[in-house]
Amino acid sequence: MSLLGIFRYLTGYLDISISGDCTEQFINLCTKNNISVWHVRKEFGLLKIRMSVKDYKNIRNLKKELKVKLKIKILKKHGIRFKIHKYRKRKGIFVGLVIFFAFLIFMSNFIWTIEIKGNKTIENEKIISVCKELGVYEGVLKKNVDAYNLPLELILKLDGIAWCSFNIEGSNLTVEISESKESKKESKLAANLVAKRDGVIEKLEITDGVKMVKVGQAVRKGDILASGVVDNGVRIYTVNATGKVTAKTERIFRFKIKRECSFPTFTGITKSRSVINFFGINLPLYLGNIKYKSVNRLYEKKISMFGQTLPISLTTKTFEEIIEETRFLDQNEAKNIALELLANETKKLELFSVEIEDIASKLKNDEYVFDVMIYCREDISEKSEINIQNELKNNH
Amino acid sequence: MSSRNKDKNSEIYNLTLAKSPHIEMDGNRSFLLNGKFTIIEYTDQLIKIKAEGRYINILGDELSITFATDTNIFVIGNIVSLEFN
Repeated sequence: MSLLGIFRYLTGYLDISISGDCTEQFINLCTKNNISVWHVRKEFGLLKIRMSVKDYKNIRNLKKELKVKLKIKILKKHGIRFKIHKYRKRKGIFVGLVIFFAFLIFMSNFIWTIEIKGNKTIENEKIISVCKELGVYEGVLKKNVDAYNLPLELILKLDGIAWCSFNIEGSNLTVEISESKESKKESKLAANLVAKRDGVIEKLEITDGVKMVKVGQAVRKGDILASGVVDNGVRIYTVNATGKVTAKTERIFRFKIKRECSFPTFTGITKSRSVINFFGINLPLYLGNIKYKSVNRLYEKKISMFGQTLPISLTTKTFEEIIEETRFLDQNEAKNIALELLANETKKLELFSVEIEDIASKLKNDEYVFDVMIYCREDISEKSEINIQNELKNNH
Repeated sequence: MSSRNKDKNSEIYNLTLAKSPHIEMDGNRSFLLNGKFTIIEYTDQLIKIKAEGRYINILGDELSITFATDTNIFVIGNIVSLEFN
């Protein structure tokens, strides 16, 4: 719709039909009196035209000037004013509109969403929690956000921020952050790489320092793997020996698993409960409580419009009924649990190429005790600072 | 050309322009007339207009007036011929 079309729709226009002799005279009457007509067509002897409501009121008075008798009839009314007129008796619509705009104006006084920009190492949650401590959170009044002083307070409260600014655009608060670039202070002190465990070396990746061991060599805990003292034939100097030494090591893990164990069993009965979160206020969409023992899963869906996240979210909790069955484990079941625990443990310790050498089990005080011996690969290197004065004394 | 003649020519030119309607056409699909006018006859096949003492007959098919103001009239349709009387 063109701009003129929008203007006509807002002011209102009419489709009228003119019947009689010499209907052309009606167009002439309009043009002579500075009245614009458009969409003029002749259909079945009738002249149909469009004109604005204001002009139609004028033309009714001017009609008397015509020498011929013409019959003018309104065919259709267009425009917003006629739509409003149609619903004039429906008070609810107008009340609703007033409430809607009042609500919109009221809601525009609050911060709806907080967006964090520019952070690389500091987590969003951490920044949001500090902002909350400073009184900036979703649902706070915009006028309570001191965009000048609060960024300074945030810098003081949170380490690692060099610069910060609070920008309020509409109902969205953008916290722009520039993290301070801390230069990595690599220890310049002289250090050796020593073994932290016994093992057989399989791979050496020494980036700084002098290799003291070879691949295939067995080392004990505390042995120097790479020396930080370098002698290049001209002078002797110290470096911070760095690198990675992969060795085959031996470890023993002990797992204690109780014989009597309770297992949750799903019965298949599930119930969902939804809650609407509006500015931190939870509005439950259910009645009654869940009476059975259950585990629950949480789904949160943030509502967004035109790419803008709204302060409304729908959280659905699914409760799955469980029955806890207590029974005695046999040795195989206990062994499987022990192996699961072993897998978790090796993952945590960053061990790889794990080979189980031996599993010894015994039942003691109503619990299974598993001693698992494994061979694995791991980085056994650790830094050991060189005490130069002692070294010098030893040399002398 | 002397300045007196130049002024005289432009005066004649302006007078001619003022007294004759200005017509614009886009192919044979539309017709625009600028100037005071009176519609004498209006049908699907013929629109007869009187403008500044001249009669203009627009002949064609499915002729309709898109808009008409006090100084403009815009006709669209399949214009076959234009006659000046």
